[in-house]
Amino acid sequence: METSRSQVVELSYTLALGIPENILVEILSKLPVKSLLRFLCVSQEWHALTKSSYFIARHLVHHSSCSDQIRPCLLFLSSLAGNFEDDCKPRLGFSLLRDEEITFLGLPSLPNLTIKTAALKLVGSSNGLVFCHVIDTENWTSTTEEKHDIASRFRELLLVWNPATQQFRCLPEPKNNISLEQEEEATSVLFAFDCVHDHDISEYKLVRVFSHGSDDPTDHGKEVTTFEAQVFIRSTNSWRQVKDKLAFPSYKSCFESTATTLNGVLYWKVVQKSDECYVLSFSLHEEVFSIIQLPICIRYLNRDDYNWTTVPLYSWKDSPAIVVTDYSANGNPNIVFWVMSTNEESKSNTNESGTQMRTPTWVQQVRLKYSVLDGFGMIGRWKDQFLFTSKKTNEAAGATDDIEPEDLFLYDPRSDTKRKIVKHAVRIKFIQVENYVESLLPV
Amino acid sequence: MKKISVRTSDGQEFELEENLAMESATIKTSLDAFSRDDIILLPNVNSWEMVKIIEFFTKVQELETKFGVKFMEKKEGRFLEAFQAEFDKDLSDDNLYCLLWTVDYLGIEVLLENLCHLMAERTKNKTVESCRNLFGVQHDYTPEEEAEIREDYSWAFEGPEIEE
Repeated sequence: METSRSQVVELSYTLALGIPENILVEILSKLPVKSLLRFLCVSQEWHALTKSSYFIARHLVHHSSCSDQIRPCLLFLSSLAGNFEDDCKPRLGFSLLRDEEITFLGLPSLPNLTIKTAALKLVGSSNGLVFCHVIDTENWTSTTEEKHDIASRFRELLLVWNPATQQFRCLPEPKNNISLEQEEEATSVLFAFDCVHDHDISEYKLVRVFSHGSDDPTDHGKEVTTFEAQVFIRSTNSWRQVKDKLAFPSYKSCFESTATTLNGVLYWKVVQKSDECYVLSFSLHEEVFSIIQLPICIRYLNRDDYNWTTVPLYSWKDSPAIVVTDYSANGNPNIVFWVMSTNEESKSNTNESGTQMRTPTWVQQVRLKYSVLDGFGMIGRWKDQFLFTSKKTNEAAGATDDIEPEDLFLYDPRSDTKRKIVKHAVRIKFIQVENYVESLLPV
Repeated sequence: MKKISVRTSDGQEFELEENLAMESATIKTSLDAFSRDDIILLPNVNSWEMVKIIEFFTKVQELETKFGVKFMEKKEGRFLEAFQAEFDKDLSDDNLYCLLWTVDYLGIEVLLENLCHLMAERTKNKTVESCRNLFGVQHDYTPEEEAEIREDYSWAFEGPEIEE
């Protein structure tokens, strides 16, 4: 279409008026972060606009709703492969699946980090922010001069990172409020993270839950284990001890790798000395612990039940779900998802230590024949579907270091359909997965 | 179906079906204030823009029949793709910019949403300079200030997708 004279006149008139701000916001909020960062130097007005929390919120809303459609946007913790650049120098980072393509997001370079001995864990991702926990197994000791520099003296490093803007921040270490003796015994440490944007889109809260022997000096048999928590809030830039504690009797062990955060509540599995299993929870918003009772048929740990100790708690429509294997009358194994109902009617009472004890109803939502997923490894969920990798080919890898290419599938239990979303991901072994959305949120 | 007559800035007259004309908040307000038999004057709308808008309405009706969904009420992903393919072809960046402005003036929400999407697609790979030209934005940074931003986010300025 040629631009006629009247159109030219009209254009200069319209340009002189400038674009209405509401339209500019609509257009800019649909742009990817990389473009917006470049356009920061278009003008001071654009800079101020795109840095405003109003705009950041609108941008996030638009991109979140886009990712609600059929193509997942996921962040993976993967081992080995993908962490190598062309010159074969290893790097820590995550694999990003978007539009059915996988790219590698390398962590920003952290000083004094020995990559070969560092272990990276993905704590969570929310609103475009990614929380990582890096443990450097080599640098246990530090000299006095280095003590003031957080990044150089770490045994563990907590990092909040926005991969889209490449901003990152190392969080200060929390201080343990317990005796030295207890600190030495403190094992299980769990982290959870959530955005708490009631007022401010950029506000987030990180919680660190850890357990140690009883506070009661008469408890020499270590009958009771205490769970405590500390929270870090972005705006205060510091850790705070949480008042509530959980005294859990007859504790045997807890399974950190099973922990899941859903809707601002951290859930994890524990087992007592009597092999009775429970799910414990900590609510980030209310900052209280609870003990959740399980239905009788899955309450007792079968020593061979690998599912209980390693398989994470999944979610089903934002409620925690436990995966167990049971057997039909004909001896065929089934995979069963027990989902906790979170309605108000679930009974709860308080035990002697003041901790809330909940006995909600658990419902068997899904029952699958084991054979449906035989040979597949479940690594996580996306919406109400489950993510699997094809494990079959890995058995052929044998003693070599070669990693067989894996396929990634989505399985929808309601329609019993499998959909391949990544074919032959070369040199990537998927371990952990989180939903991800690009955003401009500051760290 | 009642027809509403409108006259654009260059004196051309168009007839719109009532239900479609009512999608424009501006026209609707005028209709409520005045008699339906009068011609509505749209001094801020050019005739080529009106042609485009009518084209849009026609397309919507076509797609509504094809997919059986009321597009005006819902924002359907499939519609967006079909719409973009049609509209993108003949519209220059400047024309798109003018059309956007006019549609905002007329208050046709669904069309506005789709045009914003089109505009975003066109803008995302532009350089800073062509972006300023397109939106008629004044360059108000000193060279030093701009250099600082470019350095902070140097990776955002690189990439094969960025148009020259």
